[in-house]
Amino acid sequence: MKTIWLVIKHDVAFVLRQRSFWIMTLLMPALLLGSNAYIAAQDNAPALTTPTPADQPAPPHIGLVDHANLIALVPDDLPPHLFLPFADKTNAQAALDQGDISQYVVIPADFASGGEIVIYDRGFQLLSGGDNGSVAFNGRYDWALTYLITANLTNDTQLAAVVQNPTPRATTQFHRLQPPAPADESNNLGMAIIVARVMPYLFYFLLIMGGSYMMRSVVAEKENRTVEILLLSLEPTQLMIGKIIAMSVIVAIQLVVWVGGGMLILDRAATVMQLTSFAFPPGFFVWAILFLLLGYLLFAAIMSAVGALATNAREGGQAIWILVIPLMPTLMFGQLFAEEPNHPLVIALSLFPFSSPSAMVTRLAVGAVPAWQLVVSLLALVGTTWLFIVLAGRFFKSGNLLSDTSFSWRRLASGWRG
Amino acid sequence: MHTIIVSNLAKSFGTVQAVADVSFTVSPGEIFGLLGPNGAGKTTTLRLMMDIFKPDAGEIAIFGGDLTLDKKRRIGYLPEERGLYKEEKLETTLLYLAQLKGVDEKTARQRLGEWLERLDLAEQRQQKIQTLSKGMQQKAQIIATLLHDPDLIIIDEPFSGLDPVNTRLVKQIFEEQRAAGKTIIMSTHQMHQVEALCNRIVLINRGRSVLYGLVNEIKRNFAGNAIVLEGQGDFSQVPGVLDVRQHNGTWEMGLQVGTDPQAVLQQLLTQPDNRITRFELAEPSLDDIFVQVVGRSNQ
Repeated sequence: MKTIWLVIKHDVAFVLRQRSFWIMTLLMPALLLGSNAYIAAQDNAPALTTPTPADQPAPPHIGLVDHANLIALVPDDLPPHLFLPFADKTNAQAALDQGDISQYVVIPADFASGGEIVIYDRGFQLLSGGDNGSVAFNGRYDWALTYLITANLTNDTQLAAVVQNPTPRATTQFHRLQPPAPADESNNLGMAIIVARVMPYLFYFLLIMGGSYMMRSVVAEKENRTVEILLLSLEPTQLMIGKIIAMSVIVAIQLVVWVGGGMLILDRAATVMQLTSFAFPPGFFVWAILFLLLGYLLFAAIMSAVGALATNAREGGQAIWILVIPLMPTLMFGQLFAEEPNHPLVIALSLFPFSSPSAMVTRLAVGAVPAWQLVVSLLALVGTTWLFIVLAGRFFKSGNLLSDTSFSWRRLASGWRG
Repeated sequence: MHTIIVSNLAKSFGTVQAVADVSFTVSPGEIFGLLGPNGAGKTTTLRLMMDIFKPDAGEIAIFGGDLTLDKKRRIGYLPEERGLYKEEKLETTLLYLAQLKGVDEKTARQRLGEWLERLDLAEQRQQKIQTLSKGMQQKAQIIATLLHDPDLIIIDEPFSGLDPVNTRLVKQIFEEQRAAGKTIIMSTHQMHQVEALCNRIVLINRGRSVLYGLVNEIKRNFAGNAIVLEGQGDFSQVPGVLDVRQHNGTWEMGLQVGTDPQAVLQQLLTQPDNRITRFELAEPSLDDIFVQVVGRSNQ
């Protein structure tokens, strides 16, 4: 037992000292942090009545054709020359063609009765929908047109500012006094799709990373010939068990960093407030950890066999890409998992031991799973994992670990057969 | 009691017969030479002894019986190809390997400090192994072999990569281990080191033991009918001498079949003009014997 503990300690420390491990582990939270920062930057665009700081980029010039003779007052806090008056549409269009202005606004003569304003832009804006009076103005001056019109309708710039932003000094604090009410079904479906998309990737990366760390660890000891020394100190099975446990610790660390870091970061983003209101079924995390652990053990056993047969990391890496194919369908059919969690294909994938670690957990996250399916899936996974650990033990012996023969599927197959 | 008894060992890999018939014994307090040309089956024999491979036939007894895990931990093995974690620090690797052998961390640290000092690696203890020179790595491997104070030491090409100063130091270390009653098996192609260190050898060729015994006896047996002579006088006309060669003041005399070297010595001493300062049987070097035996068994 002490020997296995030494192997665990050594192998965990070895991986944690690898720069590549930390790059991979921190990459996902970093990406989330980056995207979150981008969203926050978008959300923190200037408030409606915030005066433009002098050091900001020069404001655009926007043509204004006022057939309604509405605009008589230009508030002082608008950037100078933001709106340039034109007598008619022809002159404004000419200025637009010459690039003197970036857009122009036409206020029709019947504005007071119709309330319509037309904005002309050089480019076609796909996502504007054409129904937003504040379209564009380079994004930073969306508020300016409505502010200008309100000020002229009320003939009072202070009142116009209040209309635009009635609570300029208010701060908002949320205090949750009772458990959140269940999200409505349509919202849950949207979130279910996100969960069904994210969950398989999370499992996929954790299983692949854990498995490949396992394989690389075995291959490294073959390549640097330490395995010959190790075999005089411990049994091959002790070495295999130590490595499998060590790599499970590594996977757990990654899981904590990815899930913990990810939730910490995302929880602060307004968009994810909806995600956190997504209700995971009771006991979900217990099942998820159970399936992840068994799935990891299954793939680690297979990878240890590959590592025992491969002479270098390149050979083992090539084999890995074939062996992880069973995990792919869950990635490909993420939407199907969310929309039809009881589709025959989804059920089949969640019962098949090689895909069930990610498929069943994804199903559990997005909808109710019949108890019998859960039990069958778990038993099949337990049985298969046990079988493959026993089979992997056949490969983890001195003859293979000291062999210089290249990896081949024939050797793998004949080894399985014993 | 013998530390190792190997009897009629045989092992094949597929169609390749790596070891066909190897037998020898090794006792505590001796350095035993395991010799043979490349591909003769030396490494396979060592791995069979260490239970890394299972023999097809024959018997092996280590420390009086089958090799258990506890007995394995009493073995220090220095493989021909260095087995160290190149990306790890020297100290980390050596402590890990010693602890796997059952040494507690405190003892391992204390012993490691002494060994690093002795082999002049103390300053490198925090360096990654891949940054060390070949010779330093070899010394590190020697420390890994001896750190757990093994009773049986198996060393494969121990002087590889070492300069003359370090070679002398390592030889001295193995002599000390022998004097402490440890059993040492050395496999090497450096015959002068075998002559200097080993008291007994086995020569393996094509998987079979072709020469086995005390080094001195083997050399004597291969000495043939020749003598080496130094001194003053006319040594060209000596009864029973077939041919005479002189080189740098040394005379080499080939004797006729049946001529007793002692009779030749007495004959030389009867001549008043002769002054004999050296007289000995001409022994071939172990290198010569190796070439001769391997050549003969290949025919």
